[in-house]
Amino acid sequence: MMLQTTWQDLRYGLRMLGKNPGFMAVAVLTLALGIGANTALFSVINGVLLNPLPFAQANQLVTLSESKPNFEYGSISYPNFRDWQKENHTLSSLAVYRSYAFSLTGAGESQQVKGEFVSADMFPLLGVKPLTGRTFVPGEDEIGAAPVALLAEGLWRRKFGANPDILGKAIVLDGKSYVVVGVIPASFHISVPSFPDNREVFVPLGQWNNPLLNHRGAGLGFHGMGRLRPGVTIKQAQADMDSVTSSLAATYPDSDKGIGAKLMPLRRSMLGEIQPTLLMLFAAVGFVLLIACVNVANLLLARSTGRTREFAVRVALGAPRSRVVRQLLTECILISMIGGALGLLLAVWGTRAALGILPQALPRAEQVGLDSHVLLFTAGISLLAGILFGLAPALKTSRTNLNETLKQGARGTTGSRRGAQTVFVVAEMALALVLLIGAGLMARSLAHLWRTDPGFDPHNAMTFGLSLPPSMMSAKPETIRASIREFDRKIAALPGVAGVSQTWGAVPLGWDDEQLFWLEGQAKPTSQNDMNWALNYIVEADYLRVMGIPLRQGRFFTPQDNEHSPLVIAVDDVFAQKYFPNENPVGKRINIDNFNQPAEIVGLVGHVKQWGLDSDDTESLRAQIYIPCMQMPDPFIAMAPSGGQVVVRSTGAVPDLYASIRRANAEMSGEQVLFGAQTLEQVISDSLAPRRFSAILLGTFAGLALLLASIGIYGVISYVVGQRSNEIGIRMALGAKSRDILRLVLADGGKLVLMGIGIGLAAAVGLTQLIKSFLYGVDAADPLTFAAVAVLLSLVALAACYVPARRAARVDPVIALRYE
Amino acid sequence: MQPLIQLKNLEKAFEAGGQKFFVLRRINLDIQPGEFVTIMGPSGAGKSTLLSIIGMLDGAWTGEYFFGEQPVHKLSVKQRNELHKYNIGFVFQSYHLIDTLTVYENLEVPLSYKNIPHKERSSLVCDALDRFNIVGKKDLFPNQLSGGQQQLVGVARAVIQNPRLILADEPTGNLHSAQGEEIMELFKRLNDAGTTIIQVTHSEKNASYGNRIINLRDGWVVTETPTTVAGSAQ
Repeated sequence: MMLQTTWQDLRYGLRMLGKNPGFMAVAVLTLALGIGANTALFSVINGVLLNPLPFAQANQLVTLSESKPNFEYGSISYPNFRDWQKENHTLSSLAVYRSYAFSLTGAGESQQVKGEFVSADMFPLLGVKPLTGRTFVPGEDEIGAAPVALLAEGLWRRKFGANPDILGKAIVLDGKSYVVVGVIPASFHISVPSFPDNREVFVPLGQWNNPLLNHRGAGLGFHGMGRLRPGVTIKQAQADMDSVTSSLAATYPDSDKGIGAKLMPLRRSMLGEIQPTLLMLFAAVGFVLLIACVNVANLLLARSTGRTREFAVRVALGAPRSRVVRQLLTECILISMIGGALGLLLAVWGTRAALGILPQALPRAEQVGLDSHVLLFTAGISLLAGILFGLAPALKTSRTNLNETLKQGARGTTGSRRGAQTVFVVAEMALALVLLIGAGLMARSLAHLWRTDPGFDPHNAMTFGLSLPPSMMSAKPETIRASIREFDRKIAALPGVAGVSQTWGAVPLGWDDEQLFWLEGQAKPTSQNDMNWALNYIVEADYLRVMGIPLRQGRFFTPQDNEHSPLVIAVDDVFAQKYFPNENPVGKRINIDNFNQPAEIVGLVGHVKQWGLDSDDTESLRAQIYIPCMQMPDPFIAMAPSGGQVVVRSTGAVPDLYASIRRANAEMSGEQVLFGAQTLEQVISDSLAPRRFSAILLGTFAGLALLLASIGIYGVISYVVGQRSNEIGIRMALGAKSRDILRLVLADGGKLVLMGIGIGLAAAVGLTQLIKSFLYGVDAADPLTFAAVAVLLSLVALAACYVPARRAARVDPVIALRYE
Repeated sequence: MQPLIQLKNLEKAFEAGGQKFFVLRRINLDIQPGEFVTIMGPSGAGKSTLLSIIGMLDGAWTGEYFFGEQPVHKLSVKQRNELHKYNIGFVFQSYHLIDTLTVYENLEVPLSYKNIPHKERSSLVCDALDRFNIVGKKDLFPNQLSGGQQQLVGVARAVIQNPRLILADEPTGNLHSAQGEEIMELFKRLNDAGTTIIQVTHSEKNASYGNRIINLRDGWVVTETPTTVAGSAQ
């Protein structure tokens, strides 16, 4: 019986909607926008936060780092990794990894490939099976083992034509031959610090020819991953590792004093801080759906006047009120389901577009897509929306006064309907205002950040990676130095180039590198962990000029600060303030670890925001030192060919400068690879990608909310004008002019707008506190933003009222008085 | 014989500006099964209000109302709705057909609220279409019918499940005389078949089809007059 009557209601509902295509189109489109926006964001949340990690029993996986005096999550030394492996009791396996760029030669055009040094059990730990061949076996990651490599499926297809005979073939990385033993499938995705996604080749870590590899105190950028034994919690594992590191500290106090282990669930490591941002956006988009529902509810209320008689008749014919409500809700759910289907299409398109604009903004972006969860969510939210916007009008319509309605010539009772519409319009004005203020604050934060001085001049400057020819991997340090100088000379001679500098070590807004030191006059600390830390920039003479970093005192490097001259360094403001407060650091000396002579401070330079435009100020390690490239010890120079960065400043906006640089590079050597070119402006932009993503989305939602709220108030005022046409006719017959009518209608609308803005402002004062942590340089209750948004919303809303007001002012009193 | 309708001291009033305004005053009325009663009176006398109360569409009144043996004044809203649904059919002056439904569907509407299975509903609707000679119009919408045809459908809808009582509020008010006569003849036939009918009308000619006239003035029953000859008033 219930099925029959529901089917009947559906048929009648479809017919009713077909008879009102205009209403149907507006309602469906409004809901499609609201539901679509929610679905789009849910698909992101589903992919990024809700979908399980693509590894077997992922909840057992943890990342590991060494905690050091200046770093909570520092890199693990190779000897410590081996001891952690042996000594722990709570991890069934433990692996380490480090990202690395290789020059791939001997297979077509030489190119840089993104690689990863891994320990042998990396892939078995994650449960990753190769597409073909095998992964590394125990022992293959030891120093001196035979060189083998794994290819990622993407590289295998792109560079080797998916050759099924790839296994056993040799590839040349950094001039060394590796035998391919397997191919890792494209479905393998991971993204944690030191193991970014889109790696193309995997090499056992024992193949790295870093002379410090066996040095227990050397943090060479390795981080770890482990699998908890069944039944073991992360807390228990942390306690176990604390015991292991305590034991190592006692055994190796020089290197391991103060060193601990830090465990984190892999999930948290992969997601970073994205969760609060996504949840904030989800709340915001919920507002948009509410506004859409309120709009459609208003439309239904207006439309219900014409259907009051129908439902009075139905009740007179025996329909219980619940049945009437059910019929109306069925129609509403029909509208919302159609709106939801259209919204789903909009969501698919919108999500693709958003991720296309800012692909680097989201971790696990490859997981974002349409799946059963998203479909279920869309269906559920469509149903909820239908009930939400349909319930109030359904209850109002079903509560009709039968006697009044069925009387001959009776008008519908619009009083209570108008009250409900007023409440709805005020509510959506308030919601729109809150969203607009939130978006305004985020936009101002972003604008502040854009204006924040990064400490260097990003205009007319670019950076790219440089990998010397494979033959340089085994060259003498003096040959390598000469090759680098030759490269600098050739690039500096190009038209449009104002300056060029190699930059090894830390890269602002890129990656960090640290140097240990102690002050002159202090005894050398017995343990590295008792030394001081500073961010370490290894650069050439032109670096300051190329980067546009101000020189405060003394001088920067010259070409004469080379391998034959005494060691010099420059330091930044923060370093000077920390270690030489109220003194001029120029002329002072410090002792740098692994250097056999003290270094003289020759210059004081401005601080650069290494950690981020918004986060640098709160980091604990901010002191910066600069060391001339050519004064680096020979063992370090021997590793330089494998990859460093270059920065170039141009004389102005020089089109195709990078193309010229590439041509000049190709002339030097066909095996010398340039890669990853970016302007410094792009570097800053990329560092702000997550914030830009949030601001763009929030701005879009706020814009949608403004549009919907404007449509809402336009609809209500239009309806009211229609209802009052008789009154308007009387007023005009009694002498009212057009402008009096215009003022009357605008006053009506104005009251609604002011009420909505008043409530919205009060709500915003409280709600914006929730997004305080996302803001930068602007207060959550910033009066300028609040005022500007209130004025904007008022103007837009009053403009929406103006159209029906003008229509009212043009009413012919004769026609209006003849109405009904 | 147990009256079908018994009203005892039935009153309806509303408050405005601190004063009580009566629409109906101390209505005492018995209507026997099979009667054809006409309620007449000037505009504002309370005729339609009385009809709504009898039809259980209006629950805001005081006094006693018995429908058969059922004390309506003691029933809950749900119980009244059930009683009205299964026993009373309404015919309105403005027909009040649902414009978006066909003739067939309009006839089906009251049946769909009575938990009647689809097959049985179809059978009852087809019978009604046949009985009132409107089979050929079953797929038409109300705006495709004349006034008389619409009222015919309205009457068919009211009687489709053989109610004990038909209430008609100015049933010929929007029809011309020939159509009005047709409808009144139809009512007469229904009454002859045993259906109790109460009509509200201003027309003395329509009143002559019934057997009793109740005159209302300012909410009071002022007179009750039998009509002795069918088709003529005394």
